[in-house]
Amino acid sequence: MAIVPMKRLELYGLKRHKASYLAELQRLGLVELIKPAAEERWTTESGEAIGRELHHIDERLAEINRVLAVFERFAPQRPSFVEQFAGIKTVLTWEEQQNYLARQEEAVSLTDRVFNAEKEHTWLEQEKLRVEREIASLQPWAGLDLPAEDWKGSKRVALLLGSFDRDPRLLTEALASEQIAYYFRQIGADDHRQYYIFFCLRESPAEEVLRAKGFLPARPELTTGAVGERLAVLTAKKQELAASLAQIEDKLKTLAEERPLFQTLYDFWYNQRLQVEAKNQLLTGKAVFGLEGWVPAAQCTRVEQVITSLGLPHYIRFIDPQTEEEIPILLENKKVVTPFEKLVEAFSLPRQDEVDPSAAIAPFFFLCYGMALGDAGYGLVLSLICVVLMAKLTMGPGGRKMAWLFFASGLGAVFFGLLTSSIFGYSLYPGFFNVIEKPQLLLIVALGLGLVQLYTGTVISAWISIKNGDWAEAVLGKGVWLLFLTGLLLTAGGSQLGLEAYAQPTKYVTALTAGLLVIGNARGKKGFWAKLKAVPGGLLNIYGSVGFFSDVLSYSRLMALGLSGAVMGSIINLFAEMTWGAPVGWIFSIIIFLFGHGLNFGLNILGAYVHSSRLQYLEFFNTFFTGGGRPFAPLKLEQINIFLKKEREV
Amino acid sequence: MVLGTLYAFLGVAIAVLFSGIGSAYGVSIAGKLAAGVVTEDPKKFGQTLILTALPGTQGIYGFVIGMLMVFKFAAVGGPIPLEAGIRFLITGLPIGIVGLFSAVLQGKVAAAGIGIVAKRPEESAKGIVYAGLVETYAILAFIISFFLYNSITL
Repeated sequence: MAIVPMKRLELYGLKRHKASYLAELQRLGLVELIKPAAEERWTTESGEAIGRELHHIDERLAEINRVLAVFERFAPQRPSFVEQFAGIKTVLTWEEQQNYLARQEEAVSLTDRVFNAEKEHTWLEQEKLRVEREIASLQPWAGLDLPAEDWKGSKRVALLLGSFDRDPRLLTEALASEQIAYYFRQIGADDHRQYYIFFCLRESPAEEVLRAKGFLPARPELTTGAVGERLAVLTAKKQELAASLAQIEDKLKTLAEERPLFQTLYDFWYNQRLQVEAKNQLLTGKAVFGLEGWVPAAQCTRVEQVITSLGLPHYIRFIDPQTEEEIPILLENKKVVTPFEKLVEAFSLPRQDEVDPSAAIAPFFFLCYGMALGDAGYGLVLSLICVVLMAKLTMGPGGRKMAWLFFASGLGAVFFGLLTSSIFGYSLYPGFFNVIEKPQLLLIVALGLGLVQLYTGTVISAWISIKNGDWAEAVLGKGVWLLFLTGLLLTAGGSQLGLEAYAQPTKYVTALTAGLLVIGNARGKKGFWAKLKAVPGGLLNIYGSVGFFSDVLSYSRLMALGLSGAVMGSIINLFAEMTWGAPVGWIFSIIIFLFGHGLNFGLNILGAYVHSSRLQYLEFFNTFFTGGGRPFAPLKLEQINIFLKKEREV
Repeated sequence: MVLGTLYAFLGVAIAVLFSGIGSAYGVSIAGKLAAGVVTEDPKKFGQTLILTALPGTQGIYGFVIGMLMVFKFAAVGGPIPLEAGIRFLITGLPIGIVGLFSAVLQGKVAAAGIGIVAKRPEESAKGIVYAGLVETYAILAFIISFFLYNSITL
């Protein structure tokens, strides 16, 4: 269990070399910069210059983002099922990345091409919409073969064009009743109205009569030629537009093949931005800059080497941190324990004066998860899924830790499942004991595990006291506390273990330790009254044993989860067996088996994770750990869109 | 039908019915919110799914108890004596009733946890733990129901 010790780095160099140092530190990714205190900032470089630089970078980022958005619109990336959870990243080798970065210039012209193509696409789309609107408005008049020049009629005959939404006989009857000579034809119709042409004598009041009946005079928007001709032209144009649209879309799709280039550039500028932002955290004078940061102590020589190899004039030194400083926390453990750091990170990192609980959690989480899942088959599937995911997916260090955590947890279930002979709900050989037949034993095992873990927690807390030089607390506080708890346990359950003969001495020892606890609480208090006042608090300490045992009882959840999973599994198997006998029953049998176990597996791995981690967080941490540390956040190269297959050796 | 058998059936029904209703309701509370979060950010499907599934376990516990009881009196075959019948009925009560309330309330906590997923996805593990806390009481009820069931002899 280890929190990585940190050292404070101080680096001074010439101001004009500032960017080179920052770039190198970012590439290293080992230094967390410290913002100088306000009174220390004898800066001459105006924030304005940095602001301008940031503004420039932001513009580039926005532009690249727009390009990526265009690509996403015309050639969307389809995430696979796994990627829906993990997110899509483009994987590149270091050489590929360098190749892309070398094409910065080309990217500028590509950007123009993308934007032009998009602009053209938008224009064509609008044009197509306009044509379609015109076609829609002309369509009802399609049957009118009279060219627009003739719509004004002849010297004596007038033309009336318009639409009506009821039976045309209403119109003709009205005209007839006014004794107006007419000829009419229906030209076309849309959803609601029919379109007509009326021929009447110019001097007759036909128009007024028709209007009075609800006839709406209207004309197609056309100045020359027949409607049909215009429609043919428009349709041809529409096809032409559609073709060019498809062409542009193809062009954009081809351009979208350059997506990795732009993703690489995005990441490049993003990291550039981090670098420029870091300038805010420098002390700058007229010619010299100063930089302070945290470095993991073991990495100091490497940082020094890299900085020296730049060959620029500088002064570098590493100093031990002062006690009152807040040091960022980085955990480092043996390979087996590393995945369990993830659990600690999910809760809270330790403060610098605490111990890293990862190593203490590891075996217990392994066992808790194993008990809660409790089936060798499920455990094996879970571990295999993790292996496959790690092989198929490129994951960041965080994801990898998580996968290893579940891989280990799966093995825990394999271990416990083999002990109790449970493989996909089947008991193929007489195991240590059967969970369904002897649930009491399972409960005892669960509570026993809880007792062991909480004792361990108390021992760790005593060890921390010793480390801090508080021997009295370790012995009189924690040591007596453990004796007292053991005494209580033996008093209550000693007869079960065949210790009746020692019943009396056990009682005395327990009473004695209880007394010691009360007295222990008065330790360090000055004066008789203060000591007397500490007595009720000491009694409260004894009452604390209730809390301790209720924490132990909390481990009964492991029994419940293991049992319900096992019963559920055997029910599924029973159903599968029942359908097996029927004609073509084997199909249903297999479906029931796969679906049932799939569901049970999903719910159980989830429940086992939730409850196993809860036992660590609430019950176990309660004994010695609070957390609240600030994670170590070095200046480094971030990977937003792309993922480098192999980190270059730095 | 013998009264004992009737009570036994009622016990199974109580265990499965109430815990099932609770779980369905709890999952629906969380599910509605999860769907809302996913419309904004489809990438959060995985994390919200975990929280949405959590209140579903009470239904499983009820089902397991119910199923065990069915197996027990199916094995005997004949009518169930009155006392044993009432014991079955009582066995169904803890997981049925605690399951009902804890699932609904866990659904609400899970929904709040989905709020964490929406706003601070890096802290979503904490939301899962909060929702897990509520389940403790369903688990305790399940254990008691199970031991009550275990003590019935036919």
